[in-house]
Amino acid sequence: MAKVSVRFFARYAELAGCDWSAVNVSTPATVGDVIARVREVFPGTQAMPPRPLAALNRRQVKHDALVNDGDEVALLPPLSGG
Amino acid sequence: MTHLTRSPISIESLLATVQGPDRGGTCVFLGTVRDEDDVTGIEYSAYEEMAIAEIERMLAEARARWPDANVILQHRLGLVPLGEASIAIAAAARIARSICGVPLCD
Repeated sequence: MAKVSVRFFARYAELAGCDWSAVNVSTPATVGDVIARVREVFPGTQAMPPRPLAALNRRQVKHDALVNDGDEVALLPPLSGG
Repeated sequence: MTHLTRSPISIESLLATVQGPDRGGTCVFLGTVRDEDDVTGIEYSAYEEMAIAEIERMLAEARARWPDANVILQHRLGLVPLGEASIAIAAAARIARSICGVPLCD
């Protein structure tokens, strides 16, 4: 079991109702598993896109990246404009 | 100079950071909030620690690729009104033509 911190930003924080939390996932687990758990714990985040932009320990990663106990996953809304 | 600011971006401060008597060419890129769909401003927020690390990584990459250039980047956070800059990049090099290869606007 790994306890992973999760940070939500902008619109995703509104959907989650908080900007920080932590979830437990069975190991081995990936960022995608953490996001799936987040959708269960925070139903509002089911409105996030299927594959939201994610960072693991402050580096952008794909959803198949493995997480460890104590890691931090940040969920970042897509950028737009320009 | 900080990479993130909650105040209006000062172009003069950016120029003072990169320019000098040995710098013959300077480029400035500004990204500004534009009028589209009745937008009156954009509220910017960031994962600040990650944003700073990413900006420093990009600047290090630019400095490695164009060692002759001084490059600085600043992004504004908070509410940025229509027409004001949300991001500014300034680069200055000793020889003017050498700065033209820095793809500031890509």
